[in-house]
Amino acid sequence: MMINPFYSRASEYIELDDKFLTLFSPEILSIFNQNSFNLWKNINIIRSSPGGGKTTLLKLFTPQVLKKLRETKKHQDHDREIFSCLKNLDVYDNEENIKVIGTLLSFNTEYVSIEFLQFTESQKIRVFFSLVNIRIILSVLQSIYFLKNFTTEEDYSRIGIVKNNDSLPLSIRNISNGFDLYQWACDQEEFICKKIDSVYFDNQKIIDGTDTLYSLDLLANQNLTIDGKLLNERILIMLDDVHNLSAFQRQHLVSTIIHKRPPINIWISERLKALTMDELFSEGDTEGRDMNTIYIEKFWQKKHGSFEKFAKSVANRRIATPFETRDFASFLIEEFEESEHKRIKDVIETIKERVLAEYGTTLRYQSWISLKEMSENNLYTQAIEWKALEILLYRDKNKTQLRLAFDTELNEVDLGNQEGSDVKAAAQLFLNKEFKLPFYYGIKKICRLASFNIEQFLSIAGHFYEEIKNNKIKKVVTNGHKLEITPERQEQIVKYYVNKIKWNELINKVPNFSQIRIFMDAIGEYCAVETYTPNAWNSPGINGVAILMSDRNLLKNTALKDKNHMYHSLAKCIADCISYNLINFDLNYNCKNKTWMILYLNKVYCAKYNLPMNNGGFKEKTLKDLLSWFKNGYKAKNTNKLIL
Amino acid sequence: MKEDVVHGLFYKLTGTLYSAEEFTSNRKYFQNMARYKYDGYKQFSPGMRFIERFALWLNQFHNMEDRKTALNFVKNNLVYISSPELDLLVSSCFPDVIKPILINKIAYEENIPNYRVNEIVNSIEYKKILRQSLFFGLSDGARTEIFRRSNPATISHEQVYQTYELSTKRADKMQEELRNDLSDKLGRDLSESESKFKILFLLDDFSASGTSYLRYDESEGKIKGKINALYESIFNKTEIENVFDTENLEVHIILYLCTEQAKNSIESNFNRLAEAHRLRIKPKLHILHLINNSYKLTKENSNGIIELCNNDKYYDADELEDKHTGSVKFGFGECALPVVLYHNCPNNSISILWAYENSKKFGGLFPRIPRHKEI
Repeated sequence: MMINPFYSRASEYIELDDKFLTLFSPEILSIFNQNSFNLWKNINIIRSSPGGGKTTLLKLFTPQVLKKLRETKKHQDHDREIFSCLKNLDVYDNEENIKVIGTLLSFNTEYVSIEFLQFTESQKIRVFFSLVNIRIILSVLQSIYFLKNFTTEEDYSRIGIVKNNDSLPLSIRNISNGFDLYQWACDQEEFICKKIDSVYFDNQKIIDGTDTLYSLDLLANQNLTIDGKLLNERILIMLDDVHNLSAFQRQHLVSTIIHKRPPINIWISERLKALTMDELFSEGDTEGRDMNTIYIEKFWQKKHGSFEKFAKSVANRRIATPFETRDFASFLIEEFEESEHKRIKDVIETIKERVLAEYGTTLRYQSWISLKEMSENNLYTQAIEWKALEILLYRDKNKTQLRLAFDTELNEVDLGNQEGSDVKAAAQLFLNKEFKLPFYYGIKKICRLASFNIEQFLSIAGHFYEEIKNNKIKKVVTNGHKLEITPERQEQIVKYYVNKIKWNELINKVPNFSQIRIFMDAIGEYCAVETYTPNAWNSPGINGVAILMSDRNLLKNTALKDKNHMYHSLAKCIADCISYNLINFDLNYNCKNKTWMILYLNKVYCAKYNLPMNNGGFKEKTLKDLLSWFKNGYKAKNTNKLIL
Repeated sequence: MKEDVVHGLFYKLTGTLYSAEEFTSNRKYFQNMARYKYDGYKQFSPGMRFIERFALWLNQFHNMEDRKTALNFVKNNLVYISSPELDLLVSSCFPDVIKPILINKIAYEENIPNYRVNEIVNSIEYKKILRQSLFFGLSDGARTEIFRRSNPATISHEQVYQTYELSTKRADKMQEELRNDLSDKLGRDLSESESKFKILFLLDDFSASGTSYLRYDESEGKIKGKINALYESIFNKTEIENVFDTENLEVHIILYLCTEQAKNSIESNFNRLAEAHRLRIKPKLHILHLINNSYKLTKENSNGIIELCNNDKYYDADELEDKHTGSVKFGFGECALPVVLYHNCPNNSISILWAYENSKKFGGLFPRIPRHKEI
C-alpha cells in the first residue's frame, strides 16, 4: 500500500529530480521577490524552524534539478511555472541557458567532532576551515561537472584557474587547472580526515590549516575558465544545516563570510535553534549592506493569503498521487451535514430562550431580536448570529446601565456596526466551547494551524489523509460512505494531533519541557480565561501576551547573561520557546503609547487551549507575572470572568 | 485480493473494537509490519499476504472480545524473526562467537594475553587451529551456505558440511584437504596429530525445548538426540575416529536462537553425555540470541491469549496432535512461545499461531508445514 504522501519531504527526492519537481511548489520562491531584495548581490541567510522548507528551496538551485526542469517544462505546466519564476530570478537567460552554478553543502554534526580534538581554539578553527574550503572546492567542481556535461574526471582539466594569489595555501598556488585542483582537494581531504581519525594523533605534526575561506576567492567566476573562456555563470554556494555546527564554528564561519564580502554568491540556511539566546530575542538581526536575512515563517506571516495558496498547492501535489483529479480542500467539508441539523436547531433554541429571557422585554433590543428571528441564513450561521447577539446585548446592557439610556431602541444599522467578523468569530468559539460545535475545520483554518511552517501543515494534513484512506476502506464495506471528512471529525483529528501527537513529541524533543510546559499552559489558560468572557471584550479572543520592549531589553541584555538574575530562567524559557517554534513573536508593536514585544502561541497550540488563531489578540503582562506563571503556573484570580 | 478489499475486511472485523485513531494506528502498524516482515513468511499459500491472512484468522474468532485479544497479542507480544534478522545472526556467528573461542584457546595455549587480538590472529597457531576446525549444520535451518559466504577467505568450503551425519568417505576427503592446506601453510609435512580435526562447531537456527538436541530417555535409560548421534558416529566408528583428535576434541554447539528452557535442558544433559562417551572435554553451548523465560506466555503476562489457546473452539486436536506430541495447545513441550520464524512457525509456539492451514476448526496466522505427516 502507498506510503502517506504527506509524510515524505520534497527535499528527500533530490536523487529523483522529476519527483522533486512534482512535489515542489513555486510559491515559496516569492520570498525572493520582496522589495529592495537583491538576490544576486548579497549574502542571503535563510532561517526558519525545522520544516520551514529551507533545504527544498536550496535544492532547486542545484544543476541536476535545473537541468531536469529545463527538459520537463516542455510538457508539464507545473514545471513551466517553476521555470518561469526562476527565469524572473535570472536563473535562466532568454536562450534558456542556466546562469547559476549552484552547489549545496550540507553540514552534518560530524564537524562538531573537531571541537573534541586536543587543539587550541585557533587550531580547531584552522582545521575546520581547511575542511570547509576543500568541501567547497570539491562541491563547486562537481556542480560544474554536472552543468557542463563532463563525462570523466579528466574533463576537470577543461577548467582553468586564471590567477592564484597569496591568500592561498602554498600547495595550490601553482595549480592552474581543475583536474589538478580536484586531485589536490581529494588528497587533502583524505589526509586531514585520516589525521583526525587517527588514534595516535600527533599534536606536533599538525595539519596544514588555514584561517581564511580562500576557496571563495579561488572559485569566483571571473577567476575560472572553461575551455579557455571565462565562466559566464554565477557561482552560488549554499551552506545548508549550519545549525549542526558548534556555536563556535558557526559564529566563525558566518562572521568570516560576512566580513569577507566574497566575490561569489553565498546562501546560508539554518534553524532558529542555531541562534544564540541573545539573537533569538532580536530575530538574529544582522541586516547589512551586503546581506539579507530571510525568516521564512515571518515572511509568510505578513502574507497569510500567499501562505494559504502555497500550502494548498503543496497539499494538492501530495494528494494528486492517490487521488488524481481532486483538490485536498475538497475532502474537508465546510458545511454541516443534515444529521447535525437537529443538534444545531437545539443550540439556536437554547440561546434564543436565554436571550429572550434576559433581554426580550427591553424595548431597546426589540428590533435586533426581531432581525435575528427573521434570519433565513443556514442553521449554523443562524446559531452564530444568535450567539453574537447574546454577546452584543451583554455588552450593551452593561454600557447602558452606566449611561442610564434604556429607552432608545437600537436599529439595524447599529447592529451592522457592532456585529463585525471578530464578534462572529468569537461567537463561533463560544459555540464550540459551550455546545461542542466544531471550530477547527476547513482548509483556511487548517492552513492557519500550520503557523506558517510547511512541515507543520504537512503533518496535520497527513492525519487528514489517513482519515480519507480510512473512509476509502469504509466505502468498500458500506456502499455510499463518503470519502470527505465532516467538520466534527476534522476537529477531532486536529485535537488528537495537537494533544497526543505534537504534545508528546515535545516531551522528547524540547529540553526542560516539563518547565516549559508549565509556562505554555499558563499562557494558554490565561488567554482562554480572557477569551471566554461574556462580553468577549477582545473578540475574537487573545492568543498571546505582550511585555514592554524595555522588559524585553532587560531579558536580552541582562537576565540572559547573568545566571543569578531573577529573570534568567524566564528569559531562557522564552528563548527556548522561540527556538522550538512553540511561540512566535513580534517586536516594537505600538499600543497605548508604548512599544511591546508580543509573544504569540504557535497556532497549532491555540487548538489545544481552544483559542482563536488570528494575530493581534494579546494582553499586556509584566515580567513579574510571567515569572510567577513560569514558577507556579497560571491561577485564575477572577473566576467570574468565565462564562462556561 | 484487492488491497482496499482486504483493508475493508480488516475494518469490518476490527473497526468497531477501536476508536478511529486506534483503528488508523492499527492499520498503519500492521501495514508497515507486513511490508517489513510478515509478508516474507514462507509458508503462506501462493498469492496470500499477511493482512489478508490476518483478516481471515481474526474472522475465525467467535466473538469481538476474543478478536480484540488476538489482535492485541499480535501487536504487542508476537516475536517474528525475519530473514534479514536471521541472516544477521548467521553472519555474526563467526566474528562474535567462533573467533573469540579460537582466540581464547590460542591465548591460553601460547600464554598470550587475549586482548592482543592482532598478534594472535596473525599467528600460525591461530591459522592452524582455524583450519583444524569443522563446521557442521544440525539441520537445514543452520543455513551453512550463508555462514560460508559471510566468511570468505576465512573458512575453506571443505570445512563446512550441511549435516552432522558424516560418511567415512566424506570424512576422509575432509582430512585429505586438511593435510594439503595445512602443509602448504606450514611448508612442511604434518605430524599425525596435526592432520586431525581438533574442534567441531555444530550450528543450528533455533531450539525451543532442546529435546531434539539432547535428552535423557528415562524408560530406556539412554541419552538421545542429534548431539548424541554425532558423538556416536565419531567415537564408535574407527574409520572416522582417526579423522578427529578424539582425546582432545572440543565440541561447540552454536544456536542462533534458543530459549532459556532449551538451554537449561541441553546443558543439564552434558554430564550424562560425557559419561556415555567417556569424554574428557564436555561440549559447550553458545547462543547468539537467548529468548529468556519472560517471553513464555502465561496467564499473567499474556492478556487473555492463554485462555484463547485453551478454548477448544480454536484448537483442532485431530489435525495437530499425533503420537509424538500429545496436546500442543500451548505448543510442543508446553513451551507457550509467541515466536515465528520466517521460514516456518515452530510448533513450540502457541497453536493458534501455527495451526495447519487445512485444519477444519481453526487455521493459524502463520500456518506451519507439518514435519511429521501421515501419508
